[in-house]
Amino acid sequence: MEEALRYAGVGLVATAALTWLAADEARAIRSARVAGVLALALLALWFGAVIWVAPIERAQGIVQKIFYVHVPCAPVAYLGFVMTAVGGIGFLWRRDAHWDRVAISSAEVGVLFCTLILVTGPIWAKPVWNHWWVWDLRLTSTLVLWFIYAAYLFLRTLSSGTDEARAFASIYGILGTAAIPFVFFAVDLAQGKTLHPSNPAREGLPASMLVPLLLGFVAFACVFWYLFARRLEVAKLEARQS
Amino acid sequence: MNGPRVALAVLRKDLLVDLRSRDRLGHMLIFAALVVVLISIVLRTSAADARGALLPLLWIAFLFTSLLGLARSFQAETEDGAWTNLILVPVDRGWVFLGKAGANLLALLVVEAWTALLAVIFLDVDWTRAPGAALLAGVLGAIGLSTLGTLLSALSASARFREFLLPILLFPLILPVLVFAADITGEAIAGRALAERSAGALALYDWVFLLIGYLGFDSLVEA
Amino acid sequence: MSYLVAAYTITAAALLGYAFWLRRKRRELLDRSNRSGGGPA
Repeated sequence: MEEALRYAGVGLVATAALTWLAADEARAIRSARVAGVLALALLALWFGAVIWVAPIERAQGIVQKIFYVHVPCAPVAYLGFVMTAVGGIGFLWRRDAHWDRVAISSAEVGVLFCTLILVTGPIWAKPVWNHWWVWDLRLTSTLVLWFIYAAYLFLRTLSSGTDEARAFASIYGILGTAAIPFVFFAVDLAQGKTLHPSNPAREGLPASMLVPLLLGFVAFACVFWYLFARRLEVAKLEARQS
Repeated sequence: MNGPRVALAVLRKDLLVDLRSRDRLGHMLIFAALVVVLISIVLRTSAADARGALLPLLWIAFLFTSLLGLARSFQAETEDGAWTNLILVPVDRGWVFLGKAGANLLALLVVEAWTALLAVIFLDVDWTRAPGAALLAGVLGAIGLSTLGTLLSALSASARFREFLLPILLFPLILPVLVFAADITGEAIAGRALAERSAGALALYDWVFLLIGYLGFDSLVEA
Repeated sequence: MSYLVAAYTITAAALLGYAFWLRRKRRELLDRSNRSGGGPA
């Protein structure tokens, strides 16, 4: 419980920071350069740590190192989904198209990271579980979330660029985020047991594994920041030219 | 006009349209019968082990049937340009949404009762072991489906490929409703106590989405 | 080992691919707005 609160706290801080950044579009776009440099530096550190610091796990062998690329994608994808709702609320409240661009940018980058979770997970699961996929809580709910936000992107490409279409998409973004806890509970109820390793902190990771993992979290957060800022700029340029 | 009266007016209008033309409801009833018959034949229900999969399948049959009706729930408005008038009502537009969702709810309840009856006839499902719980699951499930369905049908009404967009939007979000409702009905026909956690979660889900629908519709601008 | 390489390669390819796609798109849009001579509206 305490742990869940800690995760929620970190998530809230990250969402607040990103919301503050996105509130001023010019500031968010300008930050792309800083974010890009930071992301590259942290990615280099992270990759070095994965190669040299992280041990080769005894039971699973070297494939266990997929962990360091799979796990950091998750919070970043969630961040993207929550920011979609933030952008939606911002748009419905302020009627400023820039909040709608925040929503669409974060949804797109969030779906990208969610796709990576869904791709790297099975690649790890095949040698370790001997199945590409099992229907378990984490896997199923991640897949459902992917469908929700892929549908959001569909909705965006298929609807016109009017304010009404923007308001509708904002509502859908909010619906999606409101559904996340229910999806978890429902999948848990339907499938019960889980094979997926629990949250990393609970397993008491040794420092040699924790360091590359934490570096991964920070590095991927910066990658998200960079891609989000660039996507926001593209959306703004597109809006200005149409 | 005040809010509830707007909702009632919208509801009455939609019901009248449904009753006059009768095709929306009629198509849904025939479709539901077809799906249940298909399930009965393909599953070979004499096999006792098919029972476990039966209720979720009934809920999915109900979902597909509802989809047909929901997809049309804003068709009249978008085709006749009445949509703008509907949004321009000078009161809480949230009440327009509630009226629309209410009309869909009544239609879905009819379809649901019909599906339950078909299940009794063709699949030997016994609802009488815990009728209260079965009824509760039916009502809560139908509220969830009509709320989300009405909302998403409005969102996709003006988009291209809307008949394909609606299920893509609806299915992932409706998953919790199906799971909770199937859980409650499953416990009910097994004659066990009410699945309280599922019922609570489903009621909360309905409530959250009704609220988002109401507030979301309310915030639509006069375009 | 090949699973490990596949996971990291796919991730790198996806992120780099998206980043470069955004970069190209941004260039194009910036070029177009410069050519039409319009600064910020």
